[in-house]
Amino acid sequence: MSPLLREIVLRLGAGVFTLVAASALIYLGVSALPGDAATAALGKDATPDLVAGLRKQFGLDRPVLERYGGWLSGFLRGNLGYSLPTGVPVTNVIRDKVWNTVVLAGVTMALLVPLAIVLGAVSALRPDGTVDQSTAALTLTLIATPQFVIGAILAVVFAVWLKWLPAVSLIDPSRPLISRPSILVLPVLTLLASALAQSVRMIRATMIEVLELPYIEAARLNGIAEWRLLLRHALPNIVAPAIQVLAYNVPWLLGGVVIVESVFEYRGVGLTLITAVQSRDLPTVEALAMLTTVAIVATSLCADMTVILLNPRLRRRA
Amino acid sequence: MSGPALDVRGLRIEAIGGVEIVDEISFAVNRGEVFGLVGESGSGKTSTALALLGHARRGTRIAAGTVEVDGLNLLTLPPAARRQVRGARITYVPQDATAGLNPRHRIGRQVEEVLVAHGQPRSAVGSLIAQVHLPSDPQFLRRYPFELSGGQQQRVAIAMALSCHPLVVVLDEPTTGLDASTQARILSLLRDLGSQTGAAFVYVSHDLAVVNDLAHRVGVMYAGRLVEVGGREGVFGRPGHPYTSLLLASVPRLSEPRALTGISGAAPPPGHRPRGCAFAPRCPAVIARCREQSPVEVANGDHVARCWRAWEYAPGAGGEGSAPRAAVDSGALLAADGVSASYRHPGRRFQVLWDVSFSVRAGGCLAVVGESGSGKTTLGRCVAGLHQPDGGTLTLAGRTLARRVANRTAAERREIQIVFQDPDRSLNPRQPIREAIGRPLRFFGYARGGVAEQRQMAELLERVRLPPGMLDRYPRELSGGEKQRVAIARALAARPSLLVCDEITSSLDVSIQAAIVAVLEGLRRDGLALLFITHNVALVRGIADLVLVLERGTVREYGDAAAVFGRPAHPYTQQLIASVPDLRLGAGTKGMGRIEAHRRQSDHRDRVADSAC
Amino acid sequence: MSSLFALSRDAEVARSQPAALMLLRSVVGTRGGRAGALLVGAVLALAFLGPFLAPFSPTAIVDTPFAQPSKAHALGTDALGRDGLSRFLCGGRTLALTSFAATLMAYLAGIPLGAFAGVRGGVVDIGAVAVSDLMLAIPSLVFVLVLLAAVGPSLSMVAIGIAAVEVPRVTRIFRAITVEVAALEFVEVAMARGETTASIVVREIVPNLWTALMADFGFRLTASIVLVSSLSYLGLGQAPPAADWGLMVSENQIGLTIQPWIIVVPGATIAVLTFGVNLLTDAFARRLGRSIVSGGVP
Repeated sequence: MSPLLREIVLRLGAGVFTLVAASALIYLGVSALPGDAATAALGKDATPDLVAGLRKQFGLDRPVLERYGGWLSGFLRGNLGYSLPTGVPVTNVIRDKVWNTVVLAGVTMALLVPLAIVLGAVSALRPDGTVDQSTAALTLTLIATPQFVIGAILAVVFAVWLKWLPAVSLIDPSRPLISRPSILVLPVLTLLASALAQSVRMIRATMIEVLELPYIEAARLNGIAEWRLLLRHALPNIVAPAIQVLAYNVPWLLGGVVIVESVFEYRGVGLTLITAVQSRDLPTVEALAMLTTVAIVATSLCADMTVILLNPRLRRRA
Repeated sequence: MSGPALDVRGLRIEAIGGVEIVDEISFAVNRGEVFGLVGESGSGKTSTALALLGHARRGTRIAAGTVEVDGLNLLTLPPAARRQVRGARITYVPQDATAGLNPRHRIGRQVEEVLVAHGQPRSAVGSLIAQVHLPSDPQFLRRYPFELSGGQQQRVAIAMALSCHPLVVVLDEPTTGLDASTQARILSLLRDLGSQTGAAFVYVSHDLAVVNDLAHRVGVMYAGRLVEVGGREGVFGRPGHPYTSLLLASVPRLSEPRALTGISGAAPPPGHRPRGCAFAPRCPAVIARCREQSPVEVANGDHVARCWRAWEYAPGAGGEGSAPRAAVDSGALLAADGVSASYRHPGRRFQVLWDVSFSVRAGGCLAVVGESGSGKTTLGRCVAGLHQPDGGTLTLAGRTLARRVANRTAAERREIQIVFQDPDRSLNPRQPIREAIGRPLRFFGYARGGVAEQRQMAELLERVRLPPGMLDRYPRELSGGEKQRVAIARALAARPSLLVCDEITSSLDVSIQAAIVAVLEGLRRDGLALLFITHNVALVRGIADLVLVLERGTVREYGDAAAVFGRPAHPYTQQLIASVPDLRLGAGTKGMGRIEAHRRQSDHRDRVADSAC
Repeated sequence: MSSLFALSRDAEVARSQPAALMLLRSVVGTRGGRAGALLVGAVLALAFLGPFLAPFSPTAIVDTPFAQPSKAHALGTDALGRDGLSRFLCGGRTLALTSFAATLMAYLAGIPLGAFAGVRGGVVDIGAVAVSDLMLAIPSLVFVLVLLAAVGPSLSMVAIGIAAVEVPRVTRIFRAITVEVAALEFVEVAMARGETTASIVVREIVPNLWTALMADFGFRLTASIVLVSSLSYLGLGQAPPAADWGLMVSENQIGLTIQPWIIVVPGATIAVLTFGVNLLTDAFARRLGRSIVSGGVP
């Protein structure tokens, strides 16, 4: 088997393994924790009979491993479980909200990628120049500022003082999202702010490292023109690390989506997750956690594959 | 076309912030001439080499001076014009060829790129590659750098540097990291190219023997200044500056065993250079004036030295090397019988040693020489118990040694000590020297704190010629040579009977190497046996009484040092010795002659082998 | 990283100074360090001393809801009519304590795990790396949310959950450093001498971990602060009616258009805290030759 194929198979295998292990962690790990799902879900109304009834209804009295197996196989077939205590299938609950979250995350990524690369590259090309210094200042401020703070302050600025944008992003399910783009602005801006801070600094660092690569210096000494150095020698080396940087941001972004949807009451999967946590609706929480992991592993695999394909060493020895 | 090809005047390079890196650098190189720029680490030679192309490393700038290539001052040219000149009129061959080539581009394309950048025809690639003795078929040109050996990569770099028929070629230690035989082939290639192209070469190196082989004129740098410039015979035969004399005395000679002296102390780094002459703190010929006033150039024909006492100093004749003394038949201290070893990776086994046997007697010195990949380091580690051999036995004073150090007795662990190559990794940066040396003393029960321990530590430092004040310092404050000596002192603390030295001088400058070897000499006189592992054949001439030559894990020759060096039996040993450039005063031709003779002997084999290394 | 030209010694020298000294120097000697120390100090003082300065009880209702800032109530009142300033002054303590606790727990578990995995190698090491990578595939917040859904929201669970999420990151970093240090020759010398593994870890390896610890601390702490405050915002940390900066932002978001101050001030204070910690971390990292802004992945 060629090294290229072997790498790909290995990564895919690792990805699958991670997903299975994550599912075990989420499901079995949760079961191992103190706290009974049924009691929690019923809350104040929990009488012993009701609890027992609920447990029976949802099969919570079966052994753990059996439940896990059922859950996992159900998940693979598209059955995400049933919400406690209502019994509504999780798929129904999230059906119309998934798209909203995807749009939110997608728009953010679509803006993040070019912005991060451009800002990072310009900062690196003129270190300590105006772009670099101002980006650096902004980065330092925004990195590790909680998203709800950024969101709240942005809301105050744009919705209260400037009155340009709505303070909450209430989606009307009957109208398509695209018809009211203004409700996307603040959530996307909030997500972008922190994600950019992370990405720009990493891309800038990578870029500087690449620009200082010895063979770039050697080519400069051979009299190769700067633009050619940049285009032919430097840029190709940015692609792989840039892909990895951006893939690295995805888990972070998804966590941010949860908060941002909560801040702006944006009707997406994140908001559903919060509500489920608050009402101790374990099946929904587990299903959504698993979905998130799937998204992350998938993105990460894509990124890895792309990087592998770009590596001449592996392509060569085929 | 009159005037020198390269004319440097008053070159000064500073760090941003004003700290001087080099200053008052002036020299000229004519067409067809090779100028050797010699200096140890920290002398500023690489900064100077880069400045010849008008380039300053990040954080530094060229503050003053002129660099004229065929009359045109490179430093005052606007960037576009400078770019034209670089790579065309004056070119650069970097130290590390791997680092200088883009791993993602095929080599043919990289050479073409340089041609195209200077308006030369792409088709010239073929003849350029052939000129450096590499195959010029399209298949070869389509290779990536990682598919080439180190020597081949360096040839590509040289081809790129010659692509536009430059007037001046600057080579920055281009054979560093290459095996001796590869180095010899690259050097002979350079010599050929020099006479073929008529270009002026500036060859920067720390290796005096190589410069002796190659250069017509020599410049010696120390602490950012050119302390001596002149013709090769003059500088190496009748040096004007004490530093040059001492440096020459530190270079090991293959032709005869010599006691090496070395230079104590270390060169001052930029920012810490004293007033007056920078060499004064270490100079045996120093007078009061040296410490107050910076010396001016004293000329002797076209030979110039920057010293208040130019040509007044001559180092004492080096003593006789510790030639094999009357062998006290004390029997073998360490004996190896049929040792083989390998490295294991998941699914693969990689054998590095086959059936190695030797013996070292008490107080004796066995030199293990070989090129990289010969297995010599593995052998040392097996002796020290850090690597488990697959087969064979190791005995210490008759008793078989356990293969792993964990299974050896405390006494055995004490008797054999090891010193490693890289001084920066040998000492714990968080521990003061006191702790590094004191711990083994306490561990082996020789001292338990208090005055006795203090005394023993001071004694240990003295044996390696370090001052007792060193105890409270941290490794970061020490130079490479000092750190290496501390590592030796630490090994001595265990009171071993055998010291395994694994390339302990390979990371050090020539003058420091010599100092370390002198320390080892002293230890031998006290009865310590040495297993001295190195790739530097000449270095062991003065110290070894037995020599073991390894090639890819197999013993090629084993015997008395004088015999092995004087009349090598095995072809591999002969080739190894012939590859070593010899620094005999005024004997440049002799050294060249050796290599020439070797080449003539096996010209065809070389041509084919050339393209493979 | 290989280079055409030799490395400068200054960076190497700077890296090998005693960690505590470097920290002090970077704090006192640089503008960023001083500013960071000032900001962090100010916010922490506010958090811990604030409760003693509050003019009103944080739970007492003193006026109409969402009253504008006035002389009597510097931050106006909140959604229930409680004094904004008092709630603000009392709202930082839990955040600070919980964040520190979570970070400390993460280190107490992560460093030994990482060091042990690095030294032992083999199965233990592979296992540790695998588990770490696994945990890194789940977003921190989501993981803690799952935990809280199972066990029920409580401050102690928040701290434990955050610690659990940080442990894999800590383990990874310290494992990497341990492996790097263990490969250095002075460790081999100690092994060849016959020192026990424990002795080697304590004498040779641990002292080399301090610098990494100090450089990493800032990242861990800010991550903890963000998580704790975010969870409070979501109502899953500190329970009402207690005063908490994160909680204040969510409680009063309804009145955003009327009385923004009661949201902005606590929110901005959290941001100032994290900003200050960043400045400190950056100053220290610069000393090591890297910078948050120009440097690599934490």
